[in-house]
Amino acid sequence: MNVVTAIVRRILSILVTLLGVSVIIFVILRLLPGNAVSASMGVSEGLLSKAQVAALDQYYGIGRPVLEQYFSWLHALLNGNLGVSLSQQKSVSYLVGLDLPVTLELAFFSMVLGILIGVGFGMWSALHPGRWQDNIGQVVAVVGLAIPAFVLGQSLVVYMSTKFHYFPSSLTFVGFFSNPWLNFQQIIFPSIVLSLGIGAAILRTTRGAVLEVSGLNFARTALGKGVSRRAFVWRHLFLNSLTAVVTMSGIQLGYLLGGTVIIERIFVLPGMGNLLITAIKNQDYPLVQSATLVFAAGFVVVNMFVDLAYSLIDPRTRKRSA
Amino acid sequence: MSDITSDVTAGPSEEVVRHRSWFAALWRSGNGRTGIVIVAVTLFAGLLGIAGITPYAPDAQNPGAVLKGISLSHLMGTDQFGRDVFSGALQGLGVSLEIAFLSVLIAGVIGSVGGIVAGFLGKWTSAVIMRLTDMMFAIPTVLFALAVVTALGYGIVDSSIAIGVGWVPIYVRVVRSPVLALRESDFVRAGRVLGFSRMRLLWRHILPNVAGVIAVQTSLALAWAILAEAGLSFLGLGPPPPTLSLGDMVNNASSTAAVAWWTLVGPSLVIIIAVIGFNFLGDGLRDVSDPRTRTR
Amino acid sequence: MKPIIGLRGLASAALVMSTVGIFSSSVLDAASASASTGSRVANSTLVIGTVNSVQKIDPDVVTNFLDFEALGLIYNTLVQENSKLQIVPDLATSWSFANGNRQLTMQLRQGVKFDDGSTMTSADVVASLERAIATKTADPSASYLGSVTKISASGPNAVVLTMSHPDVSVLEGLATVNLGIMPAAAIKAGTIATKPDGTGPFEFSKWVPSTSFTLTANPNYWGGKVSLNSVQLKTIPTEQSISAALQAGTIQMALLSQPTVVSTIPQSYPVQHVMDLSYRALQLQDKVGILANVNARRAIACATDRNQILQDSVFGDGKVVGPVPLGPYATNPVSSICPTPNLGQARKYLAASGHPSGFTFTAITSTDLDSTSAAQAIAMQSQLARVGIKMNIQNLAANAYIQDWLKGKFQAAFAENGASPSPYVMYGRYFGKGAGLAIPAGYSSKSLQQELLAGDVTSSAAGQAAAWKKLNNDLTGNAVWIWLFDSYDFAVMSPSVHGFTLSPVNTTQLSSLATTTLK
Repeated sequence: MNVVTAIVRRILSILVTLLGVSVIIFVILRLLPGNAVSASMGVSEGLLSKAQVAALDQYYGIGRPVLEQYFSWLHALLNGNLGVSLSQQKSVSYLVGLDLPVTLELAFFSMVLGILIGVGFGMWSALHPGRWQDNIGQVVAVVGLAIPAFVLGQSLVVYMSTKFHYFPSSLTFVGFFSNPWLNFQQIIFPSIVLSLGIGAAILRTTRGAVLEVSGLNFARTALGKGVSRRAFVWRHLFLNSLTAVVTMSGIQLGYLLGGTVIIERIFVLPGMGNLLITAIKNQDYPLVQSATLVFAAGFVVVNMFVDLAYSLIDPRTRKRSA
Repeated sequence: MSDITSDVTAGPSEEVVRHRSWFAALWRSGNGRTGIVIVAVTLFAGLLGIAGITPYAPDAQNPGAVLKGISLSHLMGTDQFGRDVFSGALQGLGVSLEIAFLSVLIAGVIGSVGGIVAGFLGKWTSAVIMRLTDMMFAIPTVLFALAVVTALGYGIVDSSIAIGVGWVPIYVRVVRSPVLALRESDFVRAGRVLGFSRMRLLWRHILPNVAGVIAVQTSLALAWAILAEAGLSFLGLGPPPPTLSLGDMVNNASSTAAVAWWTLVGPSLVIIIAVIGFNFLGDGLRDVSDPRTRTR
Repeated sequence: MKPIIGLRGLASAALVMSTVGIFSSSVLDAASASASTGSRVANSTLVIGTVNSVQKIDPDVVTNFLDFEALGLIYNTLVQENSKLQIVPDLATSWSFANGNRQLTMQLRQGVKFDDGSTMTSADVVASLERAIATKTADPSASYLGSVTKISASGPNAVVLTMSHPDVSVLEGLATVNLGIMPAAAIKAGTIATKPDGTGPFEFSKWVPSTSFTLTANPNYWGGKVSLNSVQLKTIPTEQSISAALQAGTIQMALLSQPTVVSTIPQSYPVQHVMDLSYRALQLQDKVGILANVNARRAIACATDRNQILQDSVFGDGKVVGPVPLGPYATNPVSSICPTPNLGQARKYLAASGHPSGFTFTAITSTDLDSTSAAQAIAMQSQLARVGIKMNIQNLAANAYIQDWLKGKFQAAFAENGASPSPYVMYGRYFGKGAGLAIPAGYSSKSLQQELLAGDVTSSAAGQAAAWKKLNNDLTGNAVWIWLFDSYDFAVMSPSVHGFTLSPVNTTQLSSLATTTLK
């Protein structure tokens, strides 16, 4: 029953968080100058007669009390209706449905590559502390952390397009199942760029955790008892370092979702990041509100799974409240 | 979210490291020494940029020296208007450092106060503050930044606020954990029993111990802020002309990079070196304040 | 102490990186060979890259430049402006004013088909125009037909507009796609806002918001056979990426506005540019404060070096202009006072204003709306400082600027406004009687109103020329605003594109696509 209550409490806490996020976004957007009409018309709003403006105000629901706007949005949300975008004349769920998979695919590949790079180099470094393997690991970590993703991304785009006339992601984006080879080409380059930063952070964490674990008593005891080196490395070092690695991966995923924006722009990927930026610039309230909530929901759900994985890996933490 | 993050990023030390040996200890650690050297050079270069002491005026156009490569007279070459890239990079570094320091100041002050309050005061305050940080974590930082600059306008202070907001929850989390642990420590509890006021305990015992954690976080935050500012400028949300930050320079260089790689590499290298420096410094500070997490 | 990275480490890193580099280059080479043959589009589709995206597909409500261009390929209007900005027939083949310019009769082209197959008649024209002026539609160009009291059909092939007072500007106003012609049946069914149905060279095919807008050739186009199979307007967020895509061959045309990006594209890609139908100006709020003083404003006008602002902000890619930038009534010289900077004259005006040592004021800009506005402001700031005038600059985000601009909450504002060959269309809404944009205009005078009216009631070329000359002199002589320049729009294309000419008019900027071919 402990596990069940833990999960229930966790879900409740997620809901509270999301509610808070919805209020914060709502408030922030309302604080911005202008409204949906000015966003939609720009300076041409001045060309409209008072009667025309009044008609538009009514259409967009401006002028209704703020609380009423919030609750009607929330109510629609709970009924699965994410609203209609003001600038695109399409429903928010349609737009999010188009763009979210792209961002998810990008995030997925970036995380996978990042974890591979990070854990791979991190363990390799930690198993040869102070020697040339360690040095390479350090170089990779520093390079990944310090080179801004947009510099790398932009350089890659410029280089490939001018020298090789190659820029696959500027072609219409195709889903993995409709054209796997093209989809792969479109996703792999931005994923590589993003994975370096993730990989660097995970590398350092892995290395630090493995070093720490290998210095602990139980490790020395295991070696003393004659456990084979390979079994030792994987079963003892790796698994015990896993908690830290999983945590860092979770943190990185959080930053990743925000960090895809610039990369999506550079590589012309029609993802959530791009959608959000355009929506904010257009003061497209329904789109920004609902899309951000989708982002936030994704983030907290991922975190829940990370914590779940953490508690599964390390029994010591199971007693702690969520 | 649990407290895992703080365990990974920093750990408290029971002993307070004395000031005098603090710097010496920092210098002794490999990370620390590298960090100090690079950061010192970076700050110096940034100050030169802010003071306007550059080989050429950064925006002085010279139609006769367009897109010239690296040479003794132009250490980083020239751009498509004949402007000296090195001078521009120095000025850009100055701007980036200004914004980085201001944003970290904002984030550090608000976040540390929040973290101390969350760690030290009662259960409910703590829960509320942590809930707020969860919410802030969940909202993409770019969204925050965009909303802030759209509301406030574009400028150095506005960019700083936009970036600072993103790092507040991290400070809260990182500072709260040692404060929580210290609150339960023997000498603090003894102090409470002996009737010492909360303020005195806070000031004399808890603060000095979290100073290390805050210092580490600040250095890392500076590195992140430089990257974040570059990203914002790259998106076109940074301070407007004539202020030219490193992100702007990289953005402008995207069109000339194919024929003049130095226009892109120059400012990028400055960003990279600055970020590396602050990262190493942060690692060094971590080595000094908590030998347990030493990595070299 | 041990060095951070051992020499062996560095050497290994270098070896690894160069191996990776060589390997990936050869992979890229191979991949690009296969990918680019894939991207060489069969079926002659022309892909155009632009940073903007189509926001609305109801022509009556569009306000963004790209929307005008895109819908201008689907819809036609009664009249259009050619590249010399003269009014030419489009769906109306001839027209005449009567009753002292209070009545406009237009003869319609026959045999024109809508995309749904129906034939255009006067009933469709009447329904279209009535929809445009209906309040609920909120058409921003409705005011061009503000004087129209009655729209009626005169037989199946002619339409009559009756105005409450003499108003020849109605003819010019009809050239915008905001007043595009659509089928009456579609209007009645309420489908026109979501399913475009027009008479233009292309038909609507697919719209993926923020990503692409696809059109296919209209097989029944009245203007002749369209060679291209389809056109796609592809949104690419940055001009640098557009340039990259053009060079990678994934797009065949790039619509750019940044001269720096255009200049770095290899010479083998032909570049076209036109002066777009807009102008930059420093708008002044002349009602209160120091800028209410006409001599203070004149001092600003005389200290300003428009050419240098043109150089500094768009690197000379444009022209210095006066209140009317293009067309038969273009302002020439660009200003009746100090068309070129004259510091001595500026100081004289300063003295006359009662502030011989100068004064201070604040100007707002928005790099969101016009990326060059901050550069313009900085250039002007240093120019004005030479005579002691201190201009403070405040850069605002788009929405903040728009709000302040609409409410007139500024002393000076760097603006980019739409232009037209008709000065009445341009300035009636700012300085005319009952003008909708009177507040941002910040200045009103009976003489301006009279001059606008005078040009509006006469249809003779001589009469118009005289009226507009008076308007120009009034506007610039009193330094109502400081007019600066008009810049170029650029289209860069791959050598495979033939027969394309960029037009300055927004509705028809891309209409030569009707005769463009891809080889």
